[in-house]
Amino acid sequence: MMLTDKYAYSSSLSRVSPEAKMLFSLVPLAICLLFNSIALSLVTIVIMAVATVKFGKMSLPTYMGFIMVPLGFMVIGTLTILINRFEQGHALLMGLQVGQYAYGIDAGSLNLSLKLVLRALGAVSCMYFLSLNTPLSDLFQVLGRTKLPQIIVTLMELIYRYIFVLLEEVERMIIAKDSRLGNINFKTSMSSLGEIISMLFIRAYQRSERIYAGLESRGYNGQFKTINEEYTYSKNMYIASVAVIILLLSAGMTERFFYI
Amino acid sequence: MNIIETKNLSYSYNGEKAALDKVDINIPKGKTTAVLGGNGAGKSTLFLTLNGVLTPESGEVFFDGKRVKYDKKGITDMRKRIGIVFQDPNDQLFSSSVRKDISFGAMNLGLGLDEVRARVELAITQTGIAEYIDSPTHALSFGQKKRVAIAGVLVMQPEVIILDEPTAGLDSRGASEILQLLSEIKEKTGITVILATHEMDIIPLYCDFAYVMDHGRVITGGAVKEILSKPELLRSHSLRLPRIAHLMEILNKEDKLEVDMTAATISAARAAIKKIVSVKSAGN
Repeated sequence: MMLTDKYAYSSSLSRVSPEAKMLFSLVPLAICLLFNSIALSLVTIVIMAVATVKFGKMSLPTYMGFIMVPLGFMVIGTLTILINRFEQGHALLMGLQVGQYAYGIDAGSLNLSLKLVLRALGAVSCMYFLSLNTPLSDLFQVLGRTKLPQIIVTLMELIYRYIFVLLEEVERMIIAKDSRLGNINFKTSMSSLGEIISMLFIRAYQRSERIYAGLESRGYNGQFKTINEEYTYSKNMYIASVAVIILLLSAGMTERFFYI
Repeated sequence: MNIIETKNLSYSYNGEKAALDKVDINIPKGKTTAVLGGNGAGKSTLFLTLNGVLTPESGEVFFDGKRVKYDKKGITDMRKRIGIVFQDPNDQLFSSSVRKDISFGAMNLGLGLDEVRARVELAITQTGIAEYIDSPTHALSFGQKKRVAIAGVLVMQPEVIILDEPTAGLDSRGASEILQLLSEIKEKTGITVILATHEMDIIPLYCDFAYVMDHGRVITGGAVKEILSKPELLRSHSLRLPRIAHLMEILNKEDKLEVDMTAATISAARAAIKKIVSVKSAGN
């Protein structure tokens, strides 16, 4: 089972309406991206962390582990913006004199990279909140009610369901390959990889025929009609969403009009 | 009273060797009938024909005394009344949400939402899956998936439920739990159960009638006791007696003990052995 998926199902917020959670995460995501301010990004990061850890009941170390993954990329990616080459005599916060230029960090570059990292992290936190607290099948249900063509939503659902079945099958094939020394040298492992891939296509095709027979026997007539999941205490989530949006907007406005 | 009767039913894949060859079977209402046979005996083909997934080339199927027409309406009607649980639940469970998957068949019947919800909840209690109803399908064990697959068929409230190899892939405890579950459901709802298997030991415990199939043909059929009294016939079609019945056969033939050879369950064998012991001690 995939990692985020597992947490999404065990989250305390998993039974909350997915629409409410989308409102709670996607609107702040847009605000965070549009305003591009340090304070607002920080507030977003804190709110999403509190929502996931406190209300979603995820352990803080696990959440920090998730945050560290993109953070590493961001820090490395921002280094080139943070450290610049300046003319001699430029007011540096930190730097090194090499020949006729100075290399280092000045107030502008520090501000810019901090903004960038926090804004990206804020946006990622919003997406994390959604994906760590919302089972994917609930998102499909929301998508199903939008104008998106039904066939696409249905395909997404089927693909998601059968990823796991295929993964199981691949795992078994890889074990079978390894146990018969299918990876004893590079050439053999390449050819057995090829075998596995082609076998997987054949198996997927055979399975699709069996699935179709299974669907037909339960009266499939071209449409995947099922009941919708029911959700609990979503009113609080909507109230929280509106509160957070107002908070973020006012923080953003305050910074924009009074601070800068 | 037979709920399903087939007469001269034949089918072949791509016109090659017959997968079903003039099959005549009668399924009594409200009972459990086993269809026995090795691999490639035609069990699965028979079931797919009974569910209208395959259309027979010749022969007739009667449901509740009425001839089934293999047109759109006839097939839809038959699917409403005969449900199939496939061998691999992964072939049957298409949704990652357990509850949604169960509701699929009931929604296809065109029932109202309230009715569907009520039926889904009933199927959940009947199969005892409430504990993991909110888990995603891919996180369930094989036995749990099997139960969900059964629930997905029960929700349509069919008159007949067909199970293809219901114990395959399950450990012995899981297997007896599934069979126990089916017996309970049968008792409560009066549903007719058909199961394909080559697991002979479950036959005397859970089945009332049995058919033996081989190479698309029905070899013999009748009450379980009757079938088990023909060990040679079973053996010539890649089947065997249940272990206990085999023991009784050896005791009878090799050791010349006068035990009841048709005793195929532990309790029946125990009674039979006790009986000859008490006869002997009375004689002494």
